[in-house]
Amino acid sequence: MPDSKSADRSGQDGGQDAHPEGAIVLSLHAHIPRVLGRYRSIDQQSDYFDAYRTRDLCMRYVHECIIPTNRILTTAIRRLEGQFRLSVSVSGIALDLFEQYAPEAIESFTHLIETECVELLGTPYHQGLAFAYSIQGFAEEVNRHRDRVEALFGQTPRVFRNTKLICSEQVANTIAHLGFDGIMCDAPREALAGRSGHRIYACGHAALPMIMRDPELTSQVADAFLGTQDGVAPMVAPQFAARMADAASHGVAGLFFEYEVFGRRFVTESGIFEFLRHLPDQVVHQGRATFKTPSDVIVGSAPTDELHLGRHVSPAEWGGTLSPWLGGSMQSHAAHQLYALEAAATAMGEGPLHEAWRCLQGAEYFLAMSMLERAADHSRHLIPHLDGPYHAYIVFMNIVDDVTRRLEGSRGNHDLVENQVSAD
Amino acid sequence: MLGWAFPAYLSGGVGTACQGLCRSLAQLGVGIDFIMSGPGESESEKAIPEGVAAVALAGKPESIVEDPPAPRHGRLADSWDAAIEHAKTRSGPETSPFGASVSIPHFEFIRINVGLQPYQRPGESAEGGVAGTGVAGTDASSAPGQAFAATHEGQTSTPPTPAPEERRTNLFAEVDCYTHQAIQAAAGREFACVHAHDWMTFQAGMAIAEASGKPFIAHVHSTEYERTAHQIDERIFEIEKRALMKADVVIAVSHMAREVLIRRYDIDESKITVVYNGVDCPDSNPGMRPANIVRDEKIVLFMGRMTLQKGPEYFLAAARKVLAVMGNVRFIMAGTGELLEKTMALADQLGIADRVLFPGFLRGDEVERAFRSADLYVMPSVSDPFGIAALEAASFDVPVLVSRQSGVSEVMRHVLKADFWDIDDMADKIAAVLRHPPLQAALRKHGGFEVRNLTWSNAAKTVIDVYRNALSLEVSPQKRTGNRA
Repeated sequence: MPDSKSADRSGQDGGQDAHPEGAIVLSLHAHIPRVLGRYRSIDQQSDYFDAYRTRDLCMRYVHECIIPTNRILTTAIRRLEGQFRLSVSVSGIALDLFEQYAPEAIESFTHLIETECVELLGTPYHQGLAFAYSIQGFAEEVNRHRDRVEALFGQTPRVFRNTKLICSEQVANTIAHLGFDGIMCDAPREALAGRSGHRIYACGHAALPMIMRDPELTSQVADAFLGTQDGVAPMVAPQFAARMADAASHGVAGLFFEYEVFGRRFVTESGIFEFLRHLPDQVVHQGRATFKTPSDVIVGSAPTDELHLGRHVSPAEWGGTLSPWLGGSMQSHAAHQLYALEAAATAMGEGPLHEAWRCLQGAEYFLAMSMLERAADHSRHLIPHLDGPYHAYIVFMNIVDDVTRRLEGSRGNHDLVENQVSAD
Repeated sequence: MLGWAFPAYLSGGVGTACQGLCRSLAQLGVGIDFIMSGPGESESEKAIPEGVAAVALAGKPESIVEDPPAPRHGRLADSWDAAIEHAKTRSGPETSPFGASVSIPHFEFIRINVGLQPYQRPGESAEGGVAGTGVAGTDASSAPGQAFAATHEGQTSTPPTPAPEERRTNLFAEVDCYTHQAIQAAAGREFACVHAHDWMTFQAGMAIAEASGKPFIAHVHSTEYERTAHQIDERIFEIEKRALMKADVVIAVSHMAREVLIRRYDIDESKITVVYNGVDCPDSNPGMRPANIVRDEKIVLFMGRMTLQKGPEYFLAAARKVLAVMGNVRFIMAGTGELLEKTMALADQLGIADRVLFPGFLRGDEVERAFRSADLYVMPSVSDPFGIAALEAASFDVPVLVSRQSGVSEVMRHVLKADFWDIDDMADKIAAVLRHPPLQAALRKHGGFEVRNLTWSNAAKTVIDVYRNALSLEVSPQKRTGNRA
């Protein structure tokens, strides 16, 4: 099956000039949100966020995924003496939670970045959907994250990875305006219209270079390791390295993962870490392609063509649209209500209420309200105690309503606790 | 098949279930002899004009079984023979209570007049089995519509005023009568298996199965434990236990109910099959949209028997919490039952009596109108093997909140769920539905879609599998020695 897919791809690209670079862009993304508390409008007793569950989620994420993966990557980089290069993005809220609950995760990233073979990418601080509601709010999220990364790791992100790799001309224009050199996205089949997804395209009026994920390569990894649970032999690193090199021979092969793939979605027993351990060596050993960071690629090659993205495009596995997050009436209503508070929250200045408003932007909260079972499933482990989309909406709206009341009632009073506003 | 009370005659989930199931079984080609308890004497005297059931079910008044004549003040036993003679119907589509359009291979409806009434407590009055008939001054001319109406699961039509002592009947005696008559009615008939619904027909079912050597299928719509919130009548428990032990196959209406049978009755789990109830969805009836209700207030509906099992006090407790944060909400508690007065008193104590309406037992159009005008239907059952009313509500596109302690919560995804005792959670969810139109719209839409797949036809298909399974089981030796029909 995977073989036929790669054959298709070769056929598609075969008639075009091969890119000389043969670059493999490996990019990993780390993000966890706060877990929403079971906040009720009736008694207003509990907290907006469940500190216990958030800490639990954070600890498991760090120790099952982040630390083992970073250790393997760091070791591989040192072993391969600079021939293994990759990029990493960590959301701002994840950095906050790591600092609060698992500083060892920060340390783990620091070691990785110290190798000087890792490029840090920009991303929205809370992995929200502000780009669809407020350019200003979106820019604030991006800048805030950039400042945070700069302060923590001493590296300024030059390339941007949006929430769930969602991209559009509007996003590209904003990002270019904010000073970024490029953007990561999924290969949008429709917009490519038969063109290769292994090239660098220019997006928007700023002609921002786009580096695309190869959806087939990515799903081959998933297929291979899902298969292990059914007793199918796992994909071995040499074969996959060869496939990556095949793909890269057409230009750039983008292999983008979320950290939870390693150790959570596929547990240690599946062999995923062994695979990750051997893959860089195999690629380097075979010598047919080179690992590059996104900035390496952008500096080395100019966009060959333009890509028109008139609307927001999500990766193929999400259907290519914003529907999984905003397609339902409850989802769009919740998002609308939240982003309608932007001006009031900003006017209030820094404080716990403003911070709560920011945290509520996390896209997974909206995913949990989806009627698509698969979509809701995806965020169930992130918001584990919310049973079903209706309850997710109820809890979210209870909190948003309360934030609204407090923002309206306080008018500059920063104290959350003392803010008494009569209910309805 | 043994049961009682198609909804036109009596109320209750069992009646609704028997009707829905039989209709679909018949459509799927299963021939049925249905031995049913008929109405009590008071109804046959004055309350059910001929053809009422046909108005409800077939639209052909002339085709329905006439009610058996009953002596005015005679003992029920006096009229048994006559009742059976008169209750025997011809088979064929035009005599079926399923509607003229249904072509049925074989359906025979055998009515036994013993005045049985589901969920009646021993010693309670058996009269008033049909909606409103016990209420003084009910004009007979208005009865057809009322009888039509008594289709709602969970409501009893027992009037709140206690019946005169001399008219009390002994439930157990009636069950014995039913058993006796049912055995006679079954004699000489051809059938492949015996399917009995709930404890009142179990003794008859067992005896007929024994006599005929055919498999016995016990269909449990509710057990004594669930009906009484654990204050059980040992005699009923014993009947249930004996029958369930004896049954070749037991049908439970949910996995929750199945658990009760395993835990409380010690029934071998391998012989229990779960068959969920279904609902016949109404055609869209836009004219039914609330006409005379000024919609400046939200309506939250409770509809069911006012008994411990249905949890009316939890509904009120939640209502109080909702009213503490929202105005303009009216809570309607439709139905009657042993807790009605206590529930009304509780509303008063909670200081929300002005926001709670007790319309009593609703009928036909009133049921539909109540559903269609509601912003939310709440079923806070303490312990409910299924809860067909929740399906009915969803079939009218009403958002639904059910307790997790109801079997229906297993089959519906697009409803809100709360533990019956978690008043805060329930109140929070009620308030959310009332506050947020998108939530209400999503529940209406998706719940409506979902319920349209929960059909009696699917239930009937599972029941047919149960029959096949039962027939393939080896019939026990003592049954073989029994008299064959």
